[in-house]
Amino acid sequence: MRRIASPSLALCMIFAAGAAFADSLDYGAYERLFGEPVTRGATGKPERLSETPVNMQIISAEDIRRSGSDNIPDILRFVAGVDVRRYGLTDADVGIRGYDIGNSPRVLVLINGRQFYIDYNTYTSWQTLPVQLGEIRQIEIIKGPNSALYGFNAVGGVINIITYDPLDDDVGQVTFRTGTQEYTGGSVIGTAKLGERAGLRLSAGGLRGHEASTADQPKVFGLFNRDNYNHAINADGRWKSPSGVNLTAEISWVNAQQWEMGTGGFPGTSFYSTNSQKLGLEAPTSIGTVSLTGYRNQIGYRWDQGGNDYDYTKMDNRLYVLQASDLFKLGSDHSVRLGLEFRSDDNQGSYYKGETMGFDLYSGSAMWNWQIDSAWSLTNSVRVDHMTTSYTGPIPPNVPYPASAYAIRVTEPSFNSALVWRPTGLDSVRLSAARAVQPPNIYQMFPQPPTRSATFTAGTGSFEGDPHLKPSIVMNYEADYSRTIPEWSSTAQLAVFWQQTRDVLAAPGDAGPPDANGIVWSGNIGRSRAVGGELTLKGSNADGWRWNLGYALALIKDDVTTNQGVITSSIENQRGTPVSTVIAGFGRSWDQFEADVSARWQTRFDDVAISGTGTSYASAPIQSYAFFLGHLGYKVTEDFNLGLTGALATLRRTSLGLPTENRLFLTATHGF
Amino acid sequence: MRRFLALGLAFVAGLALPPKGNATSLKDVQVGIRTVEFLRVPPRGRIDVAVVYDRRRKDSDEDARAILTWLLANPRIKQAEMAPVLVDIQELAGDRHFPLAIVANGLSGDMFARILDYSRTHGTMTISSDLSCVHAGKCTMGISSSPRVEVILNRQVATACGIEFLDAFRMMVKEEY
Repeated sequence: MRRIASPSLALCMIFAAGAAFADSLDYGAYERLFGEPVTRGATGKPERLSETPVNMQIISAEDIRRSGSDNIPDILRFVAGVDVRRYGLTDADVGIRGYDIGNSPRVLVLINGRQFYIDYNTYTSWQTLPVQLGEIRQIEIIKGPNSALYGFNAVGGVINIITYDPLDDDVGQVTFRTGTQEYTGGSVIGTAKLGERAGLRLSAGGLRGHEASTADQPKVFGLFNRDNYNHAINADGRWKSPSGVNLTAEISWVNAQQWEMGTGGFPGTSFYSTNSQKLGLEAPTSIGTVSLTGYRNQIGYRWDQGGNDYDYTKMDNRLYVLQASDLFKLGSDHSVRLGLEFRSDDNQGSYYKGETMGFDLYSGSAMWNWQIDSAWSLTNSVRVDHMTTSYTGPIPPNVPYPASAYAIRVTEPSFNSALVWRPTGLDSVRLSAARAVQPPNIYQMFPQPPTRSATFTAGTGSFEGDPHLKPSIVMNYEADYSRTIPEWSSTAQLAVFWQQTRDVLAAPGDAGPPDANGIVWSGNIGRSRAVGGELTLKGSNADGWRWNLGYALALIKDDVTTNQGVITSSIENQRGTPVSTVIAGFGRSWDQFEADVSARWQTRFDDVAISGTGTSYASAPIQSYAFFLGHLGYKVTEDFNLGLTGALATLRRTSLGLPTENRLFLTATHGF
Repeated sequence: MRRFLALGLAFVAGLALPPKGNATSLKDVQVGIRTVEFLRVPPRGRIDVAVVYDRRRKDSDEDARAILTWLLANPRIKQAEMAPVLVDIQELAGDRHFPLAIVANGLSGDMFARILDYSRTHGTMTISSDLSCVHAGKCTMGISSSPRVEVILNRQVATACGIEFLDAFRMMVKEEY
């Protein structure tokens, strides 16, 4: 630690912190400087990947391109510690360090910091992300909770997708894909500079494909619609003033349909129509780099199981977010970030034609990074969220609560703390602790339309959210060691974690049988503990070879009130998580060719879904299997590339969703 | 006994000699030049770059020539083009303005002081892979590229020379006062 010479000098340094100009992070330039990716996703402060106080792995644009994959979940399969459960051609759920279920709630997904995780039902529909693979600069995967930066729901991990910048980067690409399962897809991506200070990035893309098999469809609900499709458009602009002020704007629109495994193990076809708008300002001030961001996400949703009246599932969800932050340096060794956030989430349901439910959230956060000396650093982040909920609309006749009972207040703190030691330029040791919060979602908190009672265990009763649910609290303790091995051109990492989830949340139908009034309540069903870790080795050499090896262990012990002998819940974390996963990937580029093969093998797990007649759950073992992703690329000209990709699994049923079909598709890419 | 005396004398003589600098690696130069991109006001057009060295020392002369060769082969920094020349430390003064100076190895002590004097009066950003220059508060930037890239920014020198870097850059490098 360098000592600050005098109080007056210290004061000068404080103001000096604010004297510097704001800058939007030029990821490419910093990566070229440091020889490694950089991120703002760990603490909100720009950092080199090797110095982040969280366990973060970055998938680069080159990794994405070489994989040959056409979707993000399949790319994530080859990250040790990430679980992917594929339910259909386009439906997959992603968990980090276990806890992967249909509509997985524990992983927060964002694009450039803008949330695409669906608050009202706490999950991410990967089909609805308004991003094309060719415009992604990097995918940042944080393993473990990070509520102190991102707020509620970042309890298992965070996936932050960073796209190319409209002003700093120059990207132009047309892609076309076609393959088995009557699959066609394509995208157009382009950046344009408007003078020296403004840039625009536009992208549009889509796909269409059919579920291949109807023979093994879930028996309860007919696979009446084999079509999956999505169409997405996104525009992103940045203007930089001569004084360094950055103004950004983004708009996007997505229309998608897919067969998916919904919350509670309910399969069906979901229809999404989403749009979002975002404005951002980053400016130099006398108190540091001040950022203001506002965005709005709207999701129109409908669910259908074929032939039934599921009109009640229509939902119009609107999320408004305002964020303000100030990032500054104190002296040479201290970086501080202060943040405020307001979030409002409103849902207009359709059953009663007028019920509304939602929440407002206010939060304050602070991050302090202290570079103690050249080897040691300490980072502490804390955030307090205050959430108020509201419900207006009729109360089902058998529910014993008035509407006022659904006006709930929740105040919870989150924190992330990490001590990092870099004894040499090649080694890094990190000890960290974190507390994260997952509040009940709208489905778990509010009254539900009575229609569902006709189809499920409640018989003549109903499914109801419980206004007395407690937030789920996740505590995580972790030790990581990383070493760069120059002789092998590789980096090795070892992570060991222990995690406890208190008051596990379960949706109505997942929390247990109906009560005496025939009501199936949501609930807190107990606690769950996990211990595990990952060991990875990743590298490449000058001869064009590259490799990615990994092993992940996740041992989960549930202490819950459900699934005691009889399966009464789709939440089955202990038996539902593969204990071991092995990853091996190799690739090589030579002349105009490149070839990459990645394999992932995982041990067996149990999946749970609605069974036969739709009146109970069924659990089935999914045996250990391997998934392979192979890609052969050929550079026809400097700008035109052809690629052949194969994705196959050694097991046809990799979940209780639709069978996993082996896929083969051709990709043609033209750069401009 | 005589042998020990000779060894002792040789040791003392070794201490008295100027330190033998390690050669600046080309990667050091590359990293150092890249840091210029993160100036608050990055240079544009042609910029004169001084490769400062000690003509009297062979190792410094060789280091400077290697740096010069690399700069001549890679003259672009975004929207600027470098025009590098060798400048002996004894001649680093006067009216000629170098916005950027690369300090070769083999310099020390009062030579560093001369570099600071010049950079203060001319607003010159000085980069060296000899970290003792930045630790001594005489150079703006110290670069070490092996085993990993480390950038050390002396804020006191930078402020004295009127050099400002982007906030994000400052967050990712090591700063000294």
